[in-house]
Amino acid sequence: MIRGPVLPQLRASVWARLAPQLDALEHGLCLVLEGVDCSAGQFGLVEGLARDAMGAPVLVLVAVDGDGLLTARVHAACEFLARVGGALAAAVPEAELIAGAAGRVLVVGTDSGAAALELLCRLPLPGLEVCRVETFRVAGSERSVVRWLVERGAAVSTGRADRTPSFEVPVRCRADWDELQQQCSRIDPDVRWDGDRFSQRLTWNGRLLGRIETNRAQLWGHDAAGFSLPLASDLDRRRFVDRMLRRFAHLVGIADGAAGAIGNDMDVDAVGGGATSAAAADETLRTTLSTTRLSAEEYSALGGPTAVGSAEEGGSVADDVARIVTADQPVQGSLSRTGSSPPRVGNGTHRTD
Amino acid sequence: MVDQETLEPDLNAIDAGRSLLRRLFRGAAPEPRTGEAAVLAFASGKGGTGKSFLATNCAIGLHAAGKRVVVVDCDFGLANAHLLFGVNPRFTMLHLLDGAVSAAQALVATPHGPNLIAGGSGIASLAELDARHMQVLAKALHWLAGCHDYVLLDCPAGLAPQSMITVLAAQHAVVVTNPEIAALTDAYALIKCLARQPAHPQVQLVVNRVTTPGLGKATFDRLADVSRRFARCDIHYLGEVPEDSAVTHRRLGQAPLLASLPACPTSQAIQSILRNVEWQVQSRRPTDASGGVEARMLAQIRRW
Ligand SMILES: Nc1ncnc2c1ncn2[C@@H]1O[C@H](COP(=O)(O)OP(=O)(O)OP(=O)(O)O)[C@@H](O)[C@H]1O
Ligand SMILES: [Mg+2]
Repeated sequence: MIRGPVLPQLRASVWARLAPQLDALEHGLCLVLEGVDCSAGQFGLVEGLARDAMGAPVLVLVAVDGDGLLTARVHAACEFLARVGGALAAAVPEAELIAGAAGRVLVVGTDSGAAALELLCRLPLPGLEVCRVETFRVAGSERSVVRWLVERGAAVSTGRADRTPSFEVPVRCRADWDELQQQCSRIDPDVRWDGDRFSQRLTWNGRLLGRIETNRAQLWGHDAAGFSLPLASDLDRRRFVDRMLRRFAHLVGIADGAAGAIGNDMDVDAVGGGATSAAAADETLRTTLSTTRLSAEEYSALGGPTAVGSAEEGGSVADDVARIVTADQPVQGSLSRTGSSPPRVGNGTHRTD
Repeated sequence: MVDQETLEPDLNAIDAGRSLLRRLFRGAAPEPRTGEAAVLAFASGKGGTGKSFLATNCAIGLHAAGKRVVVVDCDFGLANAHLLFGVNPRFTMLHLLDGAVSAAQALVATPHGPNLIAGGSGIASLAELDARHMQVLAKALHWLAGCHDYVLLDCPAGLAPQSMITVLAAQHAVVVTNPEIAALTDAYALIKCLARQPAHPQVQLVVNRVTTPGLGKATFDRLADVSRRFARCDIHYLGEVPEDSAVTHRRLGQAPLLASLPACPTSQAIQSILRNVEWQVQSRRPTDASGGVEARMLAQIRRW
């Protein structure tokens, strides 16, 4: 006979194992507070409030079989998020949530919650996510995989462990991510991306080249040697791809392993950059670059009617020239070879790809 | 910094062997070069248009035609010419620009003939290069131009001043574009920037990744018209290169296309481009007024 305390104890023990490693469920998931009452005491406490890599609130619940209040608690959590989720950033400042980031309810279960999870898969609740952690032992050590059963309110058809939620990219980083993928695909046809919603590994024939992660709504690149840089500009992206390329070359044996250190940008000062002069011969290079603009006629002549939609895109070159020349320019110094100091974000090089 | 003079004889020794072979098989002494090497900058506004692919394959074609060729990988951020050639040089542009080695020490022979100065392993970006580094590069190019017939500069995409200085040091800017509008607009922006400089190289155009024969010429016609009308710049057509999956699926470390599949249509297209290049170079031997690659580059560095 199952006595009263057994169920809560089981829930508590599953939670005790999960809570310290929420990051293993999804990169960047971080527990901020335990015990959230979303139902005015009616259905018991939700296990925890977490923050995801986008800075959004995530209410985490544990599912165990036989918990008759689970469904009601999940409903209450979803309603709670819908009602007050947007204000959590202000109400719980210690959680360091990003205001306006859409929240979710995540129900996690292990073997002991298989039937409960099954049931939740049929609940049509927007913002609900359900996953199952399966543990196994390899050479005496415990490993686990996460199977996503419901993503953003929709049941995942296969529920297989290799089916992970697609990478979620902060809106302002989307173009960078597309470009990054394209550049990395040029390293070799066998490079692959895999990972979870907020972290992607770049591998070549199973060997790690590097990782891209979302951290507080910003993309970060990490190479296999542990070097990290925020991907905030074209330049950063090129640095990252360069590292991937060198790592690949090292793996296939066509370049040495010295990954060439990246980072340690020099402090910079402007060189030249005087005022525009009438005579081209007196103009500085940067002045001529900055004053080059493409007119609407030029765009139109280049692309005919089709150029209309492309004008903005094409305009980036000439428009961004201004950024190049107004940005800092380097002064005398030796080139960096060690990645000791953090890379500077957004300095003066531009490419238009 | 190692004295270049002491290292030059090594290279001359290699070339002496080559010229002996040339004499044996062609019955003629190698033409004495008048003036410096032809310096061609492979440039583009948009990235990924195929500069490195073309520069490496053109180098192989020119070498096969008996020219002494060096590729200088100036794409500091994403240097990959050494990978395309399948070599692993000990010294790169980084060592060269830092003054740790001479151009002769950084120079490596690739398995397919052309020499190479590999891109700067570890140079985080173009923006790190200052006037002093560019002066070192100018000196190195001067030396390379003295012992080669062709110096091919694989330039970084975009319009950073460092990149423009490199392109402006060349006699010929080989602008590589793709037929699509984004690449074309960026190519035009580059041409317009070049045309605005007090002295600029001859602009040659290659249209790469052409899906229908003739699309390259149509693309050129449009760009040439706009360049003439709006930028007052005459550009010259070198040719088109088809979109070829054999290029895309080529793995790094595999022999470049022109070396492994010399008869395929893409290699043939590159050969045809090379004939036009040679013609342009012959008909446009630089006058000494421009003062050579070093002087041209130094003049641009002063304007920076
Ligand atoms: N004619 C072609 N057909 C198919 N693929 C091509 C062709 N030319 C180039 N590519 C592919 O396009 C990609 C970019 O080529 P490449 O690296 O030479 O460009 P790039 O202009 O040097 O780029 P970057 O600006 O990054 O230096 C490569 O993957 C290459 O294999
Ligand atoms: Mg390149």
